[in-house]
Amino acid sequence: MTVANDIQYAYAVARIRAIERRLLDRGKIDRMVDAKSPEEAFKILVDADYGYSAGEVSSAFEYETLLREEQKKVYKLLKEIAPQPEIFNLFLEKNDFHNAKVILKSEFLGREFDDILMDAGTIPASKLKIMIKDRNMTGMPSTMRKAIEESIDTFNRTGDPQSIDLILDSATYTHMKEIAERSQVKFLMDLVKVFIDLTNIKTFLRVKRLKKSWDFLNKILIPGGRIDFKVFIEYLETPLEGFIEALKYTPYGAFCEEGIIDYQNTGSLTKLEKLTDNYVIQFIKKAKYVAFGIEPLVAYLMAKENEIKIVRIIMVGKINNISNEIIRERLREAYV
Amino acid sequence: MAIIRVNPTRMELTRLKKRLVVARRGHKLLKDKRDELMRQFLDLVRKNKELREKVEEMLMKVHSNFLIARAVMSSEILEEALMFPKQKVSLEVSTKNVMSVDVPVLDFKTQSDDQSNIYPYGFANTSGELDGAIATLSEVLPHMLELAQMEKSAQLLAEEIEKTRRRVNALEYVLIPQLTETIKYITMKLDENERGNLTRLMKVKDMMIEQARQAMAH
Repeated sequence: MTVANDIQYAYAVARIRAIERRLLDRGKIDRMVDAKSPEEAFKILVDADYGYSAGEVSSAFEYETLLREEQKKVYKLLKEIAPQPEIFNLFLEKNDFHNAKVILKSEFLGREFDDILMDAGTIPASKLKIMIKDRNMTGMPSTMRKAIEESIDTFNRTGDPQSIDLILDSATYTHMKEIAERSQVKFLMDLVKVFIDLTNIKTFLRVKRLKKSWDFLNKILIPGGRIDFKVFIEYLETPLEGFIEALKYTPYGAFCEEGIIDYQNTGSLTKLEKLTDNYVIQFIKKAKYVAFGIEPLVAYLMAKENEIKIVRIIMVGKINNISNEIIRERLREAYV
Repeated sequence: MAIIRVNPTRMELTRLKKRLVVARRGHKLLKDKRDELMRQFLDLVRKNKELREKVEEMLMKVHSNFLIARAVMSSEILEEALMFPKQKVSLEVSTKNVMSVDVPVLDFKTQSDDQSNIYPYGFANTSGELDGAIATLSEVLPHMLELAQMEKSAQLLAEEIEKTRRRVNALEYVLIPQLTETIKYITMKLDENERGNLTRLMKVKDMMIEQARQAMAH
């Protein structure tokens, strides 16, 4: 795959710059958090032109529909305007892997779970279902095929549903990395590395909390990040201070220290998860200064996904009467 | 008080007296049983209340954890994560006899003993908040089963207490008074007969003396 000339991106970037303004900014998010009722918060979403059926969805409780539509809308737009739409498969693949997990688990459970399939993948869910059912997976990327074959095999041997998730999760990132490398875009390669590292850090802490063996950790860490596996394995049995020290000279040092200390004090990963998401947003903010190239498009996609996350936190909070402080504690930074 | 319609005979009287003795003894036994049941029931209810409060508090915690986990993950991912449970629990129900009431005893076994082996999902897409919710939920399960066992026992005991109390009352306020009344009635009737008999005899005696006297006069 050759990289498109940056100039080819001129139109796409211009388009993104125009719609970027419509992302929810701090002020709007604050207004949503301060809304007295779910309906009030929902109205701000409708005003921001969320989804396709904003006018028809009348109840604030159907916010998920709107979020799903909005996501679809973003993918559709990007595929339309990007000179190399296949690069965005990088971000869509994870939906395929999600669908694969659902399909495999449904098959092993002998029950249908079609309502939790996502339709934003690169392979339509119905097609994927037939492929897996017939064990005829020639049409899918080889990483995915191998992962699916491996998880079928592992499940048949162990009967452990977790192994399906673990194998496919790992394959998701491996595949993302492959696409990024094929595209030769440094920004994407770096971004995927950041994803892998952050996922590994979070996984490490959770595995440590569950007191699992390093053998298990070794199996579920995702290869290809900047942080070496050795670091994780070394600090699994030792106090977290050493781990913080080890991360200090990585780009994640600053926020990891804050997040891990908070985790030690509260026993909850809330803060760290938020900080990792913020780090990604900080990372993609670089794209703001790129005039031509794929960066602004990717940044817009990530910003939108982040925004959807923010909106979901607020809506769940509003509907369930969670106090504004708890909502705010979990809110991620906005892109704009 | 109504009396039982019986023939006021001596045989009947003996029979009724025997019944009365049995009824009195039964009454005393049932009363003891009721008191003991009451004691056990009150104990159980007190424990039950404590446990229920604890379980409810834990469930509230689980609920709020889930809510937060739900807020940071999309519903599809959350459902996918939980669709295939890893841990299997088998439940055995046997019964235990408490004061002739068969209360259930729930005994459960988890398939794997490793407490860290209950998470059926991968870690890359799920939030750490979900771990907390699942852990609390698995912690609360034994308590919930215990609570179920206790509440069912309390319910069964309460039923038994009510039944026993009804029996005690029936004996105390119906059967025993009835028997005493009837016995009294028969005794009176028999005494009456006795007196009648006596008077008759005396009369006959008088008449015979009279006859004898007249015969002597002749």
